[in-house]
Amino acid sequence: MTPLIIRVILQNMRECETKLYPIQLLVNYWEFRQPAAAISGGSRRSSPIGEKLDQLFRSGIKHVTSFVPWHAVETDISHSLVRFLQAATERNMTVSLVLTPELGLHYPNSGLPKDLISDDCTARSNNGGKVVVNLPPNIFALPSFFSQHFNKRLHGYLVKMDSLLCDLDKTDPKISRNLSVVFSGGFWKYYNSAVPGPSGDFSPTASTAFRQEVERFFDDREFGNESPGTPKWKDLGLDSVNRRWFNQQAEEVFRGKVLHVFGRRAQTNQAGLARRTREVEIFTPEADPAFTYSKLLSELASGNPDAVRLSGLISAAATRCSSVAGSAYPPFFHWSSVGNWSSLPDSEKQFVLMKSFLLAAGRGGGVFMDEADWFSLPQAFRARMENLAELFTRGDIKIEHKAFYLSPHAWSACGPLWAELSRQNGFWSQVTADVEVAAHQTNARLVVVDPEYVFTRETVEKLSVLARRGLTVAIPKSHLFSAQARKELEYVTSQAPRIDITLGLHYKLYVVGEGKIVIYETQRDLLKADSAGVVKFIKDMLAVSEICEQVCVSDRSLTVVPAKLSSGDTAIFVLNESRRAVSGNIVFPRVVEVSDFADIFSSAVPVVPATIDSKTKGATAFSSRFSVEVGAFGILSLLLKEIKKTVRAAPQKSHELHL
Amino acid sequence: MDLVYDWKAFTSVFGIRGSVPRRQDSGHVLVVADNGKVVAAYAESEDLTSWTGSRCEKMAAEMPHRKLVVLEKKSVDGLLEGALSHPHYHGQFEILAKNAAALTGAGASIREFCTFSQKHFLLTAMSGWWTRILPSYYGIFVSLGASRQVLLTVRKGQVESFLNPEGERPPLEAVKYLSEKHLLPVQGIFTSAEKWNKLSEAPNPWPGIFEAIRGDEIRLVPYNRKLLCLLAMKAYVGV
Repeated sequence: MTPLIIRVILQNMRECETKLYPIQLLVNYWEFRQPAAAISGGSRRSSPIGEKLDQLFRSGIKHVTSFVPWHAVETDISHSLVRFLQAATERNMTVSLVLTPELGLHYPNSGLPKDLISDDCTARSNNGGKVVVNLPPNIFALPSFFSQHFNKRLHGYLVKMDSLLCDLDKTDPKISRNLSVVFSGGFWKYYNSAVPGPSGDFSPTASTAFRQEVERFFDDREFGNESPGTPKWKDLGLDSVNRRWFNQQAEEVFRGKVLHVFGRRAQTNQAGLARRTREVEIFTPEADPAFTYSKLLSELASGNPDAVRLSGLISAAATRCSSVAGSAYPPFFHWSSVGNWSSLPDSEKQFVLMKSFLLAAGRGGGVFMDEADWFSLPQAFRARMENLAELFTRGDIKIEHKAFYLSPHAWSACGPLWAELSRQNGFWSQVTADVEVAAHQTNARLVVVDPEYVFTRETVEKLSVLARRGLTVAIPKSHLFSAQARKELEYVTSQAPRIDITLGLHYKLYVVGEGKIVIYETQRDLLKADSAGVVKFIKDMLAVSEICEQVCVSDRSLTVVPAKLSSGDTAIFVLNESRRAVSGNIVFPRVVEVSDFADIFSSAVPVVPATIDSKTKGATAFSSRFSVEVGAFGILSLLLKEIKKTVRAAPQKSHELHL
Repeated sequence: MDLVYDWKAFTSVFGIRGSVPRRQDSGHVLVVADNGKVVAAYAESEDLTSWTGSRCEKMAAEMPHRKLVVLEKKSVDGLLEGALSHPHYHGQFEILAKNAAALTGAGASIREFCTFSQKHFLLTAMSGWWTRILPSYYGIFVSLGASRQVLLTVRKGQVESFLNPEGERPPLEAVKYLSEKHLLPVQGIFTSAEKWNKLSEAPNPWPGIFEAIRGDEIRLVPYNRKLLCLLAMKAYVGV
């Protein structure tokens, strides 16, 4: 659904990208004020920001990241941003600047100018309420990205940043060489009311933009010919369906616009091209409206923050994939220094950090955190994270997704099919709004399309290509097909052999090329969460697509994060998300050789996968069933090797890793 | 540029150090519900996330020994939106806590369960009857060393701003500088972080404060007899 022009711009911009290191330490340059003496000609070396960078450099940090508070840029009469960049360059440190407005900054309104927080600019959730961010230094309502005033001001800010950095290119090219610019998706993911229902901005300006886009989109020739069976696309009755793709498209257009405006001067400036631009998806769990109420309750009760709730938000965000043209934006979790995360008990703090790190770094992302928070963590914990980061960076370990859920909007709540897919297939599954994401994943086996997805001919073509390549594609038998899309699907399935399944959720299975197309019924009474029909359907889809159950845990408090090693072996992290120690069983479909993966990343120098065998030979066990004990908020890491022949072995107790 | 609401500086002096010690189960569960369905549930040291999305009646039925304080999401949204007009988190939370105390949930009052955030003893005193004695606009500079210091500006008993003054100066010079820079009378309180933490965690810190001033463990700069009298009242009369 992304307009072609935006896709072209984004792809051009993305060509110069390189990956960000999984652990990004934040330095809030605006917190370090230049003493009056230094401004009037004193030494730069003795400035507070210089001292901080010296201190970090001595600790081995060669790269720092900073958010750029929009308001700080507009009022920066002492040129603190430039001084910060100069100070970093003098110390030969590289810097990443996050330019998109983000949440959780130690700055009033998270850096947004005050005039953008006014009532006529605010975003509204589906229930008409403001989207409130409950984080210090002040609670504020999120502005709407559809507001004209907001967009005008954002344009001015980006142009100013573009000019500022281009001028620096000319005056001090060394700064440019050490600088990269990071863009994220902004506030789109936070536009919800914390209750299941449609996500997105429902402010009057957003609704006007929505109506205009619906008119424009469905005026296209593809939707023009109204044949029997096709819905009246512009009807108010279809608003809930149309809102979802509209929100997705608006986010993609926003990203494109930001890159286009920012890069305008850089493209005409030879030196500016040296500046690297990276696109990521930053998520601040504590800023999510779903955490607002939990945080408020814990604060009113003077209690500790709810780490389990935070952990749940990490899981939810980690299974969402925002992307463009098949390239997923690396996800980063931001642990804000002003949130409640830092006041969690040590075991809980380390647990949520490590969980978010594993899930994000496994997809090419990582974590953003304040340098002071990082150094407040125990040395052994930091060493483990650094060693894992090395493995992730080198590509020795990554999370692979085998099943995709194609939704019209990546941040909206998905239906019972996704809930069941996620329950049965865990972190091997992912929600995406981009059909090409599955095409880019070599190990993708299954695509389940949401019942409220609007099909164009192009989408059906892409899905049938996936099926021909060997994937199983489950398509709803809905009325949300354009006439051409329906014709295309009928053409693809007309000559294919067919099997009808009439037990539970009815579906027809067509063998297309190397793979299958499944067309499932969408009766409301059958599509219910936890219904036997939905459970069986997802089980069937996983079986048909040959995604065997990789690992099964006996206790609901335990979750498994799988990761693939470049050597072909698998590492699994067993997470105990509860406040009690859990004893349970881990069951594998076949006999496996298990050893302690912590040996790999706990060593001072991380070992390359080729040497894993010799390193862990002494502590291996063979079985298909293992009993484990994981401490409260503990993480157990295991290295698995599949054994072809059956080996009889007694259940072994695994080693426990306490973080 | 000055961060007029330097939350890190504020919490470094007036915040609870480290995490809150786990408390005994009070038997109450706080719930925010939307149309009878749980949006958020909280009880200290408990995992209640699995109840999200369930019906409140079901939750109450499965926890017959617990008292559920159910707050309507609409009322809580109203509380949050009502706090938006205040410029900083400390003030906003005071408004939130005050308005939340008036909320009565299904079956029980939130007041029975919530402590409405334990406030630091100095902040409580400044917003109490001291407002009648102290100037209407003044500053309190608390320094526990260069890395933990904050200047509070207080207007009519309410915290107006909190900022981290740059650099480290001798006490008298620091107070004079801040007073001239911000054009307000500033009272400096200088002590060690260890002493301050100990006092902050004490149930009744006032006698300890008075003793610490007499023992020169806490320095008041300038030496303020009026403030000393107020502290003595707190320490020995309890008002």
